[in-house]
Amino acid sequence: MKSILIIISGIILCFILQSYLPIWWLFVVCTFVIGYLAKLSSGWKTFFAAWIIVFITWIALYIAKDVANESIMSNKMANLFSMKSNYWLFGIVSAVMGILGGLTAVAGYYLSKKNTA
Amino acid sequence: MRFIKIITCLLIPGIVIYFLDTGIGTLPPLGKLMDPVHGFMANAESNKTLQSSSIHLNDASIKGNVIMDERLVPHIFADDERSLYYLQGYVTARYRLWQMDIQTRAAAGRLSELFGPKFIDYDKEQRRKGMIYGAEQALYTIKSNPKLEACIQAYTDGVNAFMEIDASTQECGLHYADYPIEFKLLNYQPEAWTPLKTALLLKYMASTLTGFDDDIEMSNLKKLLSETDFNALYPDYTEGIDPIIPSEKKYDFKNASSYTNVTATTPVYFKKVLDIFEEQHAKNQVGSNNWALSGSKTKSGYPLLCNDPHLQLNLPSLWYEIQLHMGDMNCYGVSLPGAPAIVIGFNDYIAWGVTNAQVDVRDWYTITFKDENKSEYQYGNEWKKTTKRVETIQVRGAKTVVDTVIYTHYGPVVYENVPATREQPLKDKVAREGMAMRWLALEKSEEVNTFYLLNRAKNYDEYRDAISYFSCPAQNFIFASQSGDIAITQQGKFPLKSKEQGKFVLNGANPADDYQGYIPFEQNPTIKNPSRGFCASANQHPTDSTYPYYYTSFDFEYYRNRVINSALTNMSGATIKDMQQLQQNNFNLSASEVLPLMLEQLGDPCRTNEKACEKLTALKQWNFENNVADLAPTYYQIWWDTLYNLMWDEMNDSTIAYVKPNLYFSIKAMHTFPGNHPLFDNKITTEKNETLSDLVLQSFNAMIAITDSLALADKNVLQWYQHKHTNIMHISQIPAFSKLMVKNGGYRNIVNATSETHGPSWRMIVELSSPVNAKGIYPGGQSGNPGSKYYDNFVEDWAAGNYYTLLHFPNLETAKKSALFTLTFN
Repeated sequence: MKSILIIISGIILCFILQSYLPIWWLFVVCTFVIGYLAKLSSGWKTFFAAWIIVFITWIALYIAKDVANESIMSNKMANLFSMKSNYWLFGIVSAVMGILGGLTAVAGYYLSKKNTA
Repeated sequence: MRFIKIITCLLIPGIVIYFLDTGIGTLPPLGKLMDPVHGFMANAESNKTLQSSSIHLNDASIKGNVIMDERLVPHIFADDERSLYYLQGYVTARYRLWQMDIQTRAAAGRLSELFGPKFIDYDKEQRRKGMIYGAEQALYTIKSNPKLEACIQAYTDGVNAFMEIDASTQECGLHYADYPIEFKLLNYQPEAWTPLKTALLLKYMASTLTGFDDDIEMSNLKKLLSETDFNALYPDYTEGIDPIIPSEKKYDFKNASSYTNVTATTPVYFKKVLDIFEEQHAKNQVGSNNWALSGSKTKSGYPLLCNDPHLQLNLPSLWYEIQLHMGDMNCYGVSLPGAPAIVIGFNDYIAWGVTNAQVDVRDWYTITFKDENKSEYQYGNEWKKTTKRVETIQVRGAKTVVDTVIYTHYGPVVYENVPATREQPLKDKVAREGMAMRWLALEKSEEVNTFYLLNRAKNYDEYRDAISYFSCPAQNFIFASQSGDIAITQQGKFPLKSKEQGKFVLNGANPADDYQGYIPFEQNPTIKNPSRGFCASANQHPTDSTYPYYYTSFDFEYYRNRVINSALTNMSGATIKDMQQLQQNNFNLSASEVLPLMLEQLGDPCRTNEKACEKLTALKQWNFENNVADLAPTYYQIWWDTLYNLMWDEMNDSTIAYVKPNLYFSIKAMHTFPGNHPLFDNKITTEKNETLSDLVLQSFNAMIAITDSLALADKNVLQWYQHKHTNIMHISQIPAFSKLMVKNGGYRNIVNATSETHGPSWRMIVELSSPVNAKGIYPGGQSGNPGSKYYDNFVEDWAAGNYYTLLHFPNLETAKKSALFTLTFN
């Protein structure tokens, strides 16, 4: 229950930051802070929660724009990067970003542990 | 331990983010690019971009309305000239910014700045051709005409206003998210627009249309072929030509003959001296058709004017459709992104269009320098001084390249230290020799003035005045007016030449080889209201042989003009529909003139296999139409191409600069040369002297083998459009942003001139009724953004032969009723 709440609030936070600030990597700061504050029971749990936050945020942002554009741009970009479809492109990029976010969240998690210890 | 985990978990993302943010090697910064909000998805246009808005500019004097119609054509309504051209610049930049940037960089030889060392040769070529020098010359003339200067400055300011250029730093104020996608992919920033860039763009067009000559090749051929063969294969004039100006025109110029004087130039023998650049042999790809019918030949009784310039087909398209309305000027047509005014179009009174003149305006002079300093060169009995121009080429990721180009009074010395201008070059002489290029595109001129004035012209006299400012690239300006006049003029600046002057390389040390002046404007080929009731041009000879001045061409056309002229001669009660059909005409006249001979020479049809027999039957039954899905045009083209290469295999030596005879004279040679002419013999086979019929059989068998192997996987690849494979490539050649294998018929030397890469880049038909009734289409879309639905939305309609009605609104109120959205500037 706690993790779901954390994930939801993380998504909202990331979504807002990513939408308004033109710094594409800002989500890693966000996940780092979340990892620090959330104090989940393990590093792995923290990693996956952060991964889900970033993945869903990016996918959601992509799809919101993509639907309005009828996939014109994303299909061309997928083609340019030799990917099967625009959804593969969204998925792969979001997954990689999720890993980056997950790692910094784990860093935050260990930092919080050190402080409590 | 925890500490190490923390560091690792921060370091890995940190490093990855660093590289994704800055880019590795030629890869763009992928992180920035993939940002779902500010990266490429920011270019994924939604309908939100199609909403009306009010734009407040820093320059409060700019006022006007831009009505965007359903096809995203801007209709600009302004009360003063500055606002009009300012808004043209603004709105063009809004939709075509990257195209404007890259085309002018390409023209200026600045691609290494973006793409690194592999473009140094290209950049050097542009600099040595004098592209920037030529643009500066044009700018010099523009500045002496205050109206024109103001027009170009207004356009420039408009482009820069869109880019939010900072007045003091000249930095672009657009955010990364707002950049066109290509800037993101190629990882660079937009830069401020300047009047020089407009001039560069026009020189780029001049280069596309006149940047060719065969002087070196002709010099070699003259030496290598017998006089009879040379004259038969490369004549300046021949029987049966159907010129632009019909023979009823009499040339009674006084003094015309005294302009010319005879020089004797001995052609020298050139090895392939092109140490700097390989000529682009795209010359038989560019071309155009235009014609005008007088009211006596049309159903409505109004004149009809048609134009379809055949240029390289790209995305974003070369053309940008636009309406410009100010006071009593109400003009509609296509503009070049980067230049003010409309290039091809119509207004309430007249319509005009252009085709390329194809007349050679680029000549080469051998230069002998006094010494290795190259500061003086021989000219008659004197030594003339050179000037030196330092060209600095910045290179991404490498050292800046500096190239000093020497200028003579002829023009830039493109080739220096020519390794073999003579068969046996003297070693000490080499360093003192060069080749200077005299090219009309580099002379002072004000072509923009022609368009500026044509946009406002109301009658024949104003048309003549407007075009008098046009010097290069020489064009056949077709004209029709509501008052019922039709006319055509081959307009450009043409040097006075003695016979064959400039056909071969000239001797720069001999003043007699120099230009002796120019043909006066009034004596350029022109005709008004000819008795046949129409004017037409399709890149053929401008005149019959009675025209008193000598001219030669890098490539006249011999087929489209005859199809058009014969169709128009036989036409009466013509309608817009008839004009559409003629523009789409797929009749392959050259095939009809050579295929019967090829079939005759082939002899017994079924002496090979059954499949061959089937293909032969298809060829025999072919109606010579290069229609989309037909197979016969594919068989013919492969057969012909193979035969052509076998015929002129003597000229395959890559160490010597040659140009093979063109299609027309190749076919003529097949009809007139004896079958055992030595040129038909295959050079590779020594044991046998091949005759023409041997070559025909060889090439036929090759065609059967090629088509069989092509069709192995899929028989459909032999359909004409699939085999021809017309690609409309994105300017940067990114296939994902291109339209591949467009379904269209036609070919080179066919009225519908759609080839692999070139074709009718704008089809326009104007009926000079009141109000004017016009149709048009180009294979692209109004938006240059690959993420917009307006990027390539005309292509399918263009390929299918459809036209759009051009909305020529009489006033703002009417325009507003058809608006998709409006941009208000106040």
